[in-house]
Amino acid sequence: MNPERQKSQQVGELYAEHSSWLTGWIRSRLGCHELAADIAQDTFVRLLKRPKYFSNMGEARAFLSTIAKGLYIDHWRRKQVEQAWLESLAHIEEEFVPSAEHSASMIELLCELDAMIAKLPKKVANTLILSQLHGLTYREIAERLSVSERMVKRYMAQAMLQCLLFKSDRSL
Amino acid sequence: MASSQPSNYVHLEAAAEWFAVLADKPVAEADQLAWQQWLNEDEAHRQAWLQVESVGAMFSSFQDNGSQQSARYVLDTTSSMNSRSMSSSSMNRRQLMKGVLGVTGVAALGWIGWSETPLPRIASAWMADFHTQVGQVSAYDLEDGTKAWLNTNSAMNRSYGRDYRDLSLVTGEILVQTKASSDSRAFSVSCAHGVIRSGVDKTRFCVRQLSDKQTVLAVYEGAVSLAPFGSQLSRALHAGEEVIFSSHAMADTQPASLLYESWRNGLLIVEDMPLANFMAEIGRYHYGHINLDPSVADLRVVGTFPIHDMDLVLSMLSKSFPIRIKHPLSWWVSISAA
Repeated sequence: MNPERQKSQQVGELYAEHSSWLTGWIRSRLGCHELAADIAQDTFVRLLKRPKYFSNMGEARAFLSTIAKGLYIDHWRRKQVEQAWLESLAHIEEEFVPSAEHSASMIELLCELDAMIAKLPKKVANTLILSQLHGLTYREIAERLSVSERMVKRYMAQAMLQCLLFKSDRSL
Repeated sequence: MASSQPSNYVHLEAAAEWFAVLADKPVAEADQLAWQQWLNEDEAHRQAWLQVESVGAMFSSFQDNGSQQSARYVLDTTSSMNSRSMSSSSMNRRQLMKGVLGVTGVAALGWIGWSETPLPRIASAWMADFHTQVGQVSAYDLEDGTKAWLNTNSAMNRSYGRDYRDLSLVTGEILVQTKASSDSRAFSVSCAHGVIRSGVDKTRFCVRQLSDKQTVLAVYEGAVSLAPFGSQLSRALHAGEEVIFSSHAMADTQPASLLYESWRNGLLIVEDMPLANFMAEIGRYHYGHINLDPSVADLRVVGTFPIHDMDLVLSMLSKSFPIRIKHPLSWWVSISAA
């Protein structure tokens, strides 16, 4: 059997064995059946992309629940982004309020940015946002964060490098 | 999942350094030339730089005025969520909103319907054993026969051991109904400010965290004892009684309000509540905004309202009060004097 088929067969077996347990486990935490089913599904899809071998059931379940936890945190972050976007709209002059389609694509992009920035240390993330989104100079950022301009530059390099690594990790 | 270093790591690192040089304007001519030279040196450098540009492009997508303001707000909000060191006394989202949007944009008449929950607590709620989202009310049957209901946007942990049973409220509101049981293990509900213990008799009580400083306990059946964490005193509360407490003190016992129980059935029962508080209360169950004109904030609301049907609630209000309600989008309500 070729390795690809072997992989998906193994995930298939895991699915048969653990999917209803996993859905129940997530539902007991989220209280919402549909969302739990979606997240369980995504967990197995994730596993298909990066298969892993387990020596026993406990190990498999521990691994599955870790992935699921990561996925529902993503889901929660996404909700936060959507909510913050909606809030911000009420504070924008009417003529500038983006259309629904535009909003949808912006939210998509913001989720991606947010996921990327979430991995950065706080000051590094702030530096990147202040520079790229608020258009501040390094001197202004340095004043705002009470660090040296040299430090700001170092934060910028660090931020970009981590973003690049994050993206290349995602595209694997 | 640990990621291994990509093969082009060195080039990505160099490209990130160049990005840091070029992102501050104005760029010195010498830097510009040196960068150009680096870029032309090697195809791998160009490839790495393309990646930098694709990250940069994500930010520059927000070019028009409106989406730029929104993007700033979203990222400033969500990135402050990541700070684990943020203490409960630091900025809440309302302050953050003011700070970020400042005086630009249209000022809201009143900004309510907004959870004041500090963000780190929201994050820990997501990791709790049980939790609900905004608008969700869930019932749980626990193995000892205890029933628990979590109200909107709430979270709790369960820890049952050999000689204790404890439910701890992480955030929000919980209604607990214990069985008159032969279970010899002590039962308690702990929260940010204290612990509530029930005896062997059947009890039903609600615990709701009101703010960082205060929690309310309302008892509907049986009797419980309340002990704030920082106090030597405890107090017995009986069915029909309610008390607000902090870590150090307990206010006078009051008659229990139906408010803390009726949500279990999807209802909001209010006896004499200012409209501003009422909208904040109903706002807990819905995403979005409620703008309220201060001139109508003190109107007194009485009645029974469906928690999940905002349209119906608004039409009930507009029949009882001289107010004008605009509800142009499902998440945006604006209330002013008629």
